[in-house]
Amino acid sequence: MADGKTYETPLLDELTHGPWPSFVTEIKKRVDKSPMCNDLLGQLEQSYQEKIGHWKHGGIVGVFGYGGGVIGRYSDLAEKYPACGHFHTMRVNQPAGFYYTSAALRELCDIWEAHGSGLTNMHGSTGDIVFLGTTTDELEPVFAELTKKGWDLGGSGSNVRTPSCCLGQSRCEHACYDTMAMCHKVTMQFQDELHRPQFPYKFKFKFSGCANDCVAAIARSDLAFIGTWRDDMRVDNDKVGEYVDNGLDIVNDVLLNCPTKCLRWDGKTLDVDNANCVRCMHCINVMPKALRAGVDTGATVLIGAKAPIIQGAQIASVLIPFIDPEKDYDDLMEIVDNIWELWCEHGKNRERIGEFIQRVNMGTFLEAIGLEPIPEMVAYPRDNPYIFFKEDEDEDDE
Amino acid sequence: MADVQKRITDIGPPHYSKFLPPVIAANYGKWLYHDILKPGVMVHVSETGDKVFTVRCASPRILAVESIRTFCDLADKYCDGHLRFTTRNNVEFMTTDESNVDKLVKDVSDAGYLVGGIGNAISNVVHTQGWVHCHSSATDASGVVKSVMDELADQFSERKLPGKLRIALACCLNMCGAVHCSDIAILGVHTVLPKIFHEEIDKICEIPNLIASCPTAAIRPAEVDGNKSVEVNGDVCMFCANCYTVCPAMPLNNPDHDGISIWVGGKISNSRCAPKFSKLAIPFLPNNPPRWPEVVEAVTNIVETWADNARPYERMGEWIDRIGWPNFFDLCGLEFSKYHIDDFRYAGLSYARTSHLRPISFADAAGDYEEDDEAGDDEVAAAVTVGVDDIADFMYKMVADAMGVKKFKSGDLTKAAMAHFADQNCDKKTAKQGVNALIESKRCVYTYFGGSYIEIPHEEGAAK
Repeated sequence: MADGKTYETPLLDELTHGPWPSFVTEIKKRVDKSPMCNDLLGQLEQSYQEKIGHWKHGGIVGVFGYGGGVIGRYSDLAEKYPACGHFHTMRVNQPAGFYYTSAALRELCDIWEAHGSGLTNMHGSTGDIVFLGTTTDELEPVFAELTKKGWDLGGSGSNVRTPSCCLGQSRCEHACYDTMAMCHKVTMQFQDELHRPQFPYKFKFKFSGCANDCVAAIARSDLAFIGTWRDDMRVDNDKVGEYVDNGLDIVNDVLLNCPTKCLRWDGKTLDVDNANCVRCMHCINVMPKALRAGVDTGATVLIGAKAPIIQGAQIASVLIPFIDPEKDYDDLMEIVDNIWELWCEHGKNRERIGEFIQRVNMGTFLEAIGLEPIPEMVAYPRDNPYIFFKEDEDEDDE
Repeated sequence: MADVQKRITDIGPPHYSKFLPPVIAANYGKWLYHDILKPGVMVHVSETGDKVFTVRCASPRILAVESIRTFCDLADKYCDGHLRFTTRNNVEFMTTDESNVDKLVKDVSDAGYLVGGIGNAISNVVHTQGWVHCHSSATDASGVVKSVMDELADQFSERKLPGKLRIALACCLNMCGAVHCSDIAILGVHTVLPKIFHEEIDKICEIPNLIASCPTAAIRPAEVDGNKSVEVNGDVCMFCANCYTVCPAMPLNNPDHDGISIWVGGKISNSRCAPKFSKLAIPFLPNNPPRWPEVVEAVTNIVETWADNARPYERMGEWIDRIGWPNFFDLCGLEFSKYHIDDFRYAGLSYARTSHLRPISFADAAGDYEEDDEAGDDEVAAAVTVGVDDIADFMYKMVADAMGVKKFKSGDLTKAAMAHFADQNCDKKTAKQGVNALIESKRCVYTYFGGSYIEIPHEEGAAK
């Protein structure tokens, strides 16, 4: 246990000044009450002086029965900063849309203060609440108290990671489907896959209500859902006129920014070439009182986004142009099942689904999961003629 | 200890419906439009006529429970106990009472949290754990974010920017966040080879797994000082540290050589144009805690240059597409080096395969692009003292001796001649003249069969 030593932290203290809220101030709020935070501050100051971190890999600690939700972390200066010798992280599955009541948050704060550093991330990058820093002995007690109050851990490791979503229809006029409902439904459906790693690598679901993609689904989820609509955009020409009267440069800011040149404005009517509208949301973003998505709404499903490691970064690509998340839910789950079965059977260690598809190629992947290839899946057809023609197979052949 | 039989698991998160403010629940799916009233404050209006006012403020993402309780107090005071967080670490307070808005803004600001981040502003910086928690960080995360945002706080709390600006930071190439698609990305990098702990490595790592983890196949098994270990091919290691992620005995963290790179032009949304990756602007800036002045200056410069030049709604990447990369580097005063040219798979796809150039690119004459010729034209070549016919004879003998075994190209013959007659200063020009003489003497002919060769004339198979 720390002996209440006070650390001189001149470098970190510098970061308590300035207009932006300071993480050092946050840690300092806890140094008197938490020896762990106190030692953390000391170690962090040393890191600032030496320009190197002082944490070691960890990976075995967790709660009984789960293979994820806890990131083990040990200080490599544990003798000098014993109170943060163990500094494990617990991921707590956030409520969809990151909505809380003060009562619920206070409960979480009380649990965490009693059993850990009292420092959190609201939230981690994937979306979980992060309880930042506790010892191995405290993991089970925290878990017991969390579940008693109706909370559960999130994912980590080679499993389904905690799904996340934009706040969707709860407050946004652009949302084309109920992102929070989908996020919660999928989270509950895959509790086993979330807590017990059984995949080659991580798998992330993210749900955005429209092409603005405020949860960055297309950039970082294996299966991204982006809201869209099938029918015509709704246009209130009077309101368009009002925007123009109020100074909107509709030609330069709206018409010329349409990626498929769909819009014409003659001073009275906004003519929309709906057949070529790609639902990019720009004109709607600019004139939300005048323009709205259609009413036949749903989501585009894209697959395969990831960060650079190992084979390079990817942005997700179209897998299913349109689903109705409610009506087509079961069909969607069947496809997810097929994807996982294939990936689990043939994927390499730490191979994200996007890399797997690159390796086995998209055509083979689609065949194996039972989806037809369609032009929507490509930006353009191949431009190299090295085609692996196969002999025609009889229908009866395997 | 919890009774194992009664142990609760697999219950998932609480259902969000428990936490929705009444006005949200009542108008779920019915919202019509929103207006941004002032920085950090917006109102949403529903089909029903209901309104909800949102006040957004920045958090440093690392929050002590004390701070969360402060937010709870504010939520209790003004929002019937409701609050939420955003996907970019901001806090949102929602109220139906417009008179609460200014009071909320004041109380939030007094508590030390900046109000802003809505609309065409910097919406907080998504970042990672850095030296606070992560084993693989090449830099600290929170410290860099704090330093950058102290300088750019106005761009969060006001709305002076042409479009949205998403800044993100990752302390290493694992990029825990959407750094690869950000308007400005700050990325920690390692620049020197891993240090291998040869005695421990076989005990704590699975070597085949380790070898497979390298994107460029730079790692191979090796015995070092009697230990079963690995070695790294320095020519193909690009310091991504994936090896360290799977094997603690191979750290890359290095205080003298780790640093920060800056990337620009990424975009996640599909509005106006498709998503884009972030592209390299500055390959390396040093780690200089506590305030990273070089990074702050570089990022501020890029932000201000974009803000001064971009059209309304034009994100960083869209602005650069319109003005071109040469203009971007010029306007920002950044150096372009060979590091900026891709050299991983499919690198050629990033080359400028078009004649589309702007006048800025015609400013210099062609000769100015060449690197300095160090060899210089001042050297006078030594005189060649071997005759062309002797060279031709040598080449004929080379071809004849190898007939039926190996075919030679013109280049093989000239190289061999230059080597053989080196003491007579045979240069390339003279050697080539030897080839010409050989062909003109009809002792050899040019042939083509899967390549251009010089051979002794013979009847070819197809003629028979």
